[in-house]
Amino acid sequence: MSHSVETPTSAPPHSAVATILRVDHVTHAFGGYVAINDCSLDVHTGKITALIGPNGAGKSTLINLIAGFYPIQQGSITFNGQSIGGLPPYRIAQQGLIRTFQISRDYGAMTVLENLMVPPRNQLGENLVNVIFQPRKVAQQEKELVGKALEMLNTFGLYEKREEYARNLSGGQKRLLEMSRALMSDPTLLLLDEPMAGVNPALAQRLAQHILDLRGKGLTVLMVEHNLGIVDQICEEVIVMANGTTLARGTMEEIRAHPEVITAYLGGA
Amino acid sequence: MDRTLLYLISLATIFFIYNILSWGLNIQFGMTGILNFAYIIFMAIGAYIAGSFALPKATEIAGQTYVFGFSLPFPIPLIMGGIVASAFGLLVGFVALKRLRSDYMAIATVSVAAITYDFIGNYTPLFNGWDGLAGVPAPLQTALGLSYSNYQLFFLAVCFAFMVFFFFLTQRINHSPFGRTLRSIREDIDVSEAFGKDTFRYRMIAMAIGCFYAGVGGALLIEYISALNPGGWTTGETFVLFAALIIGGSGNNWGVAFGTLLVPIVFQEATRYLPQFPNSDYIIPALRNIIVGSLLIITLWFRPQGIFPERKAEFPSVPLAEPENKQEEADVALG
Ligand SMILES: Nc1ncnc2c1ncn2[C@@H]1O[C@H](COP(=O)(O)OP(=O)(O)OP(=O)(O)O)[C@@H](O)[C@H]1O
Ligand SMILES: [Mg+2]
Repeated sequence: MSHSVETPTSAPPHSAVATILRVDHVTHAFGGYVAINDCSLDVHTGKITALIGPNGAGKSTLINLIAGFYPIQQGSITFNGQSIGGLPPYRIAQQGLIRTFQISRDYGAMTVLENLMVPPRNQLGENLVNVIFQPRKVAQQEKELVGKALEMLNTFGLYEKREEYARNLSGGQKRLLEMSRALMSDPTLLLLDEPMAGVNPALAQRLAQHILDLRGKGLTVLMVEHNLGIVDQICEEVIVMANGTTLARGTMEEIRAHPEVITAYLGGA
Repeated sequence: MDRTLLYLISLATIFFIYNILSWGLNIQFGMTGILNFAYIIFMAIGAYIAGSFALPKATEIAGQTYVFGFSLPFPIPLIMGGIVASAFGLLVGFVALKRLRSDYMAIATVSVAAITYDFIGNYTPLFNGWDGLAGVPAPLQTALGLSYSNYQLFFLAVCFAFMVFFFFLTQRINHSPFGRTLRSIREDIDVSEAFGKDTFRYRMIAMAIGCFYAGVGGALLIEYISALNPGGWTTGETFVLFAALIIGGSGNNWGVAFGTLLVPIVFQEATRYLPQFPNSDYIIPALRNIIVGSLLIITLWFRPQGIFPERKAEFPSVPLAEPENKQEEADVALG
């Protein structure tokens, strides 16, 4: 068995890669149960990083902490060099850090297209003063956003469904909606919580391709994923979590050879 | 003018005023999903402020005690009624919306309604307690010097103008990106928060706007009927408006108007003057409640979106840059 793999949880200091997100010694307990225990990790700018680990490892909890949905009890989180710990979720999102949810959460009674029209940031028409006194400008921006949303739906194969209520989509289509909707907010860092859960292999391949394309456009992605084939295929860096803390970090190849990861997650063999 | 016509005019006047009340609630509940069970309180505040701003000093009126008494001309009392109700809405919103999720917020508003009701009723120096305000001058009546029936027509026209104004305002809000964000908050507040929407702020704005409608509606009401006491704004009245929304179709301003016509006007107001059963004058009010209640249950059971459901949002049609990607469609169809 090879023990040669280095498994630091942060980038080595000599590395030239920039860090967009840093989780530093974060601990979070639900009542007496410590779900995140002194956890640290870095996400590198422009990379697709996978966050893997057994069920209950604390991956979703960590996403919730980063996105501001749970208060930070200990430790700190910095995004683009600025501390975001303690900020409400909307303030974090306004800085370009956008998350999706493990269970699809559509705006059920709104159409697919309208779902995509919510996320864009800095919409003039979200201010009533503009709605009443600058209707032309609002309409102009609205038209641009509709164009963008329709292109997005086309890319994700949901164009035909644009007038459908979101609640009527199939489970897989809801995953597509979740991701295309998140992209409408032009994130700089996208946190995806199991984007391929319940998605058939062909569609998963397409989603994987989308994520790769996004990286090409300068987006950084941190994705929780159980499908290691996909992780192998698109993620340059893999972080393994177990029992509320990071266990290892490396490429998928390095991770596969990591003894602790094998016992904790991959299954001893 | 014959009496039937005058009666119909008065029903229409009340209907126009009630539409304003219903649309305000629609912005809060129908669009934003805020369960404000104190809604009628804001109507009352608007009415009392308008009434006490329009009335002369209390010392000049026998048997009433109230604050203000500025003898201000129309429409100043009405605007003030809207503004004060709106400010009170912000105050309640700050308490109820800051930390509490929808169900607890609902309970908090019920408490606010009870406290305000008892306070205004018992603290007589404020708005004359349980007797309420009376003798509120009819707007511009002396200035215009119209006959009784012509004045009724004039006031009908005033209410119609206000209704039309609020209708267009509500439609504008509903079809704007602002309204879209309100609906998204109703559908899933966490998701909207995750997209950078300051959901507390949006809900506060919805609260302020809705309560402004309530205040103006209340002001028109007291200026029309010239009196109001706490019996006219019990918590039950809030539920009448909720029933109107749910039956008519909350989220749809036309549907809400239809529900308003049906519930507060046809069932509540018009049935007041049906011939009474001999020696049992409680039968009609009881029947009225039974009918509204049944209608509500039937709607929730068979047509939960209401008679005229919320419409799908419409967008300008924008052609795709590239032709639609048929291959991808096919892939999705496979999935
Ligand atoms: N709100 C909560 N209250 C109490 N315990 C919680 C709460 N949320 C999560 N936990 C616990 O914290 C641990 C981590 O949960 P989390 O959802 O982060 O796991 P996960 O790594 O995302 O797992 P999965 O792969 O199954 O999604 C679990 O043991 C879970 O039971
Ligand atoms: Mg999870």
